[in-house]
Amino acid sequence: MKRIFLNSIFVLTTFWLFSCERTIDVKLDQGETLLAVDGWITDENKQQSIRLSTTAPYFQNGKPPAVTDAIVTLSDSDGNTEQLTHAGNGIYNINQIEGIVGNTYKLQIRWQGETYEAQTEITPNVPQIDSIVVKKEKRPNIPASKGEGYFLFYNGPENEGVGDNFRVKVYRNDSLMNRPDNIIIAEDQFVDGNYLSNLELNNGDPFRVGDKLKVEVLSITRDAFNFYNELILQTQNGGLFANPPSNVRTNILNINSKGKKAVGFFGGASVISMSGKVEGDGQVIK
Amino acid sequence: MRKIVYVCLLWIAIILQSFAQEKYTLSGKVKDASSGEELIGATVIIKSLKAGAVTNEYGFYSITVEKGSYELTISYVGFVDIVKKIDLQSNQTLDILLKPEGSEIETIEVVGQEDSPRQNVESTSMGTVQLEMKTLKKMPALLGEVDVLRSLQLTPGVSTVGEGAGGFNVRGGGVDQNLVLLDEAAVYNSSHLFGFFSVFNPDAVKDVKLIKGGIPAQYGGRLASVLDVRMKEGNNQKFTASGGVGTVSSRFAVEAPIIKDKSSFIVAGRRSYADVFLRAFGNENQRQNQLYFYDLTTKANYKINDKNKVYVSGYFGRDVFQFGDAFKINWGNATATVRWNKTFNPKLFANFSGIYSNYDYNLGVPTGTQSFDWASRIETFQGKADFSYFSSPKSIFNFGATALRYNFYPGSIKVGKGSIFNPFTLDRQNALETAIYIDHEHKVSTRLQLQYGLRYSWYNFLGKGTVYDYVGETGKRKTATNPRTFKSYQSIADYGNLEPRFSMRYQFDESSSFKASYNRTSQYIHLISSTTAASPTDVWSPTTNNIKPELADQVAAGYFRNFKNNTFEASAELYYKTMTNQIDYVDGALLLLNKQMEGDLLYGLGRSYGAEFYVKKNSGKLNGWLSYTLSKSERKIDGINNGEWYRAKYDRTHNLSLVLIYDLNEKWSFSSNFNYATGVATTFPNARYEMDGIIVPHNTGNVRNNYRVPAYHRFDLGATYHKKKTGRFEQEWVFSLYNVYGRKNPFTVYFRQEPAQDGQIQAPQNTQARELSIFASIIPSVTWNFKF
Repeated sequence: MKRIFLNSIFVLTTFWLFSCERTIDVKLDQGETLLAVDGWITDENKQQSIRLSTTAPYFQNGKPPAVTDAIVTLSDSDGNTEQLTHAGNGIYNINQIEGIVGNTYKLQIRWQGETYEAQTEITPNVPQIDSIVVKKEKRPNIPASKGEGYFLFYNGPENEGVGDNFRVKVYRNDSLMNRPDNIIIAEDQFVDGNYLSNLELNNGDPFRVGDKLKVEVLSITRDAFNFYNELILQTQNGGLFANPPSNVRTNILNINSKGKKAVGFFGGASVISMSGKVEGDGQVIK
Repeated sequence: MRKIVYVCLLWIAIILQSFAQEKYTLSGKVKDASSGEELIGATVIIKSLKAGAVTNEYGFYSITVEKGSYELTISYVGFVDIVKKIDLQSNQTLDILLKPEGSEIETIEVVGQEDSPRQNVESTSMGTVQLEMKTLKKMPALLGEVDVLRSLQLTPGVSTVGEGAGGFNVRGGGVDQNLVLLDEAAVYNSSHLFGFFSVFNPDAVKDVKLIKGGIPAQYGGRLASVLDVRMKEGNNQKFTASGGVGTVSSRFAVEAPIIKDKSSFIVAGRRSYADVFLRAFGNENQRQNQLYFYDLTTKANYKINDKNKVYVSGYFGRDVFQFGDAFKINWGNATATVRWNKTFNPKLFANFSGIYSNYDYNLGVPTGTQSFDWASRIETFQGKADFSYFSSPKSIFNFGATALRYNFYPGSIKVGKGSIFNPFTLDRQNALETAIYIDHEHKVSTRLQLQYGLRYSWYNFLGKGTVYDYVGETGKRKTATNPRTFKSYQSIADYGNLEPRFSMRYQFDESSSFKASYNRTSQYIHLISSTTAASPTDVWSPTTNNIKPELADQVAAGYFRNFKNNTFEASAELYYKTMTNQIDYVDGALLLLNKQMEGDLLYGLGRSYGAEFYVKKNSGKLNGWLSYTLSKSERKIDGINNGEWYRAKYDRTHNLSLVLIYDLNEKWSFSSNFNYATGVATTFPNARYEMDGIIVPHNTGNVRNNYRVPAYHRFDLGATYHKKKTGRFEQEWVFSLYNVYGRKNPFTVYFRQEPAQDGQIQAPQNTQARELSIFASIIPSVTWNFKF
């Protein structure tokens, strides 16, 4: 956060005039191909699935190569185990096991002679959204903004007890706002038990009148919070105070520690949401 | 420990007695005749005896020789040498006034100016760079701001992690491994404006010396170097005011005698004014913004009598940024030094100092539901006593002791009414660092000179507070266990280190010598910074029960030679340095406002080696220097780069600088800089994967710093026009063109998804490499300076 602040201060100084950012050609090595896991189990009542793919050369654009021949098994702390069915394009559907708050889940993937495992849980302490307030604002000072627009502000209590971690997802017209700078994560270390009011949700990327909106708050594990924190750091790592580039953590572990590594994350979350339609300045969605 | 002290004392006593012949001491100070400023490093030589002395930091010299008549030659770079006859029949005090070159009153006999540059060959010091403010002021500067640190980056062995990054790196050391002293007070952050400018006001600086190797025993506390910046004392002859109006800032300085020849002061201030323009011309939003820096440097001295003199000096600087109600940050240093020079007898010179230093920052949101104010601070109190015993021209003893108290306030959050945040405070940390040292400058023969010394430093990490042990897998965040609570000032952990220092010079002839040195240094405080370039919000951490003191051992050897009757001084040096307990961070480390921050630290080794070449021309119409460094700096940290050695982030294989200054006539002088450096090391990905539509860069080998950004090079031009003096009023115009050919030097290269177009919700799947250049175009500037 501090880094982003400092970088944006730099943007606001006159020195910005002398600086220049441009796309350059870089020849990169090609790394070995690793298994990439992108999977979530939540307490929502909908079809849930795990997506398996592989890493690709960095500049190889387009969808990542799907892994279609893995054996994927999911088990939970209630003693249930199921083998997920491949539904095409590397999507493995969860058919029986349900995401229940308080349960832990173990994912096992067997692929190309290696066995990978990941564990997560669905943490309780789900907060509550009281309201989303829509405000019309001018933002000439925020470089990412396109001037004027409608911004969403969150209001709701935070539960007592330090250790809650959240991700907030905002949907505009049914699509997840999903640029790297849209990812919002939060922890309660400094706000524990307080009423959270007036928190902007769309990071300078405004809505228009008539847009459908949906806000989801996911209660996630500390490990998932750290994963997103590193992902944010590494996907927007520019500016005057960049961090040394490094790999984002993973919780997908080869049971043979000398075996091939994997990347990605398997997480559990409990989800609450609120939806509405942007009508005008001062509108309160409850 | 006590034994060592006894042995040292005994040794001194023996040497003192061995000189009980009929010898007398000539002592005094060498000063600038025009201002009364004491000159540091001036030479006083008795040619017939091939004996001499060099003035210390207070302009003091002392020579003890048999009684008789002698001819003294006194010289200092940029000043006219003088020759003086003395008849030494008893101890004698002699203050010597030197006149600056080019001053109107050039009547005394001129004996040439070959003496000062001889120090290059004759002194034992190596790995030392001395910059004259006069030269610095003529060099082309970024936006016309004369900058000590940027100019130092054009000398051998000094590099930076990027143009515009704060601080500097010496022989493979981190920015926190330089002891930056302003009148003996440690400066904990040497940057204004993120690192674009340094905190030293050129109008108030008298002398700048960087010691990279063969560090004498009197200095300690950092691994890599000592940057000793000494302030002017203030003109004790007449009132002068000087100042300048530049592109970025304006300066004004006043110096004057309080009592002529006895007491004087200087006050120098500087302020940037980008915000003034913003307020005048900006829109409504911009008018609420504040962005400026300022600093105030002041010093006064009072000569009680020939044997006692006191100095008081202080610095206060601040950077302030506020963007309406959205965000504010400010940071700055404050230092204060009180010194008492005492000449106990003509042979024994002493200085006692009391020093205060503080660095702090505040950042936050001023109002609203998200308002908070986050503050962090380091504060130190130091007492110091340094003695020099000038036993004979062949033998000088330096000894002393110091005690340094640290208060660390790592972070606290204050909140206003209605804020969603809770207040939060990290415990204050206390530490005491003490040291004693003794050092002997010994001329064994005309050819061989030695300087050897020993420093013993002892550090104590003090309560109160709760400390932990940390357990877990190497390279990953560790878990705190075994909490222990300590009472106020109860010792939590202590460390002692013996630091031997040695340097020698063997002179082949009048114009060439060989030098070698070894030094061990220890460091007890560490700048915790996970970003590539140091940021103003980085926090200093003490050595604790978990963080161990950093240690470095350096050996260096060099050949020094002067050419053409000392017009050129040249040197070639080799060094090899190893470092222990170097700090790095786990991926995604949480270093601020974290009670268990130590769990995110990694430790390892460092090593660096290189060759430095330096040729400097001191006199004539054309002067300047050529510097070339070939070096390698590496780190080996458990948990990074699979535990293998990797290049440090500021590792630059080649680093070449050429500085030229040409004085055309009394009106015009021209200057140029050229700098070429290998690009810094960084990590590039070799793969990507997708998480929920977001492309994540990945390095499958998990390596660090496997690539380099493109090379850095830059050419600057400068010109100074001195207008003819009208009465007392002098003025000059300084023009500079920075980065003449507009090179887009890369500061960082990073990888990202192509940004989304307007209204597009999902960023495209395409990836790109982006290069950021901070000063990517030609930057012209004009500065007007005046003096009366």
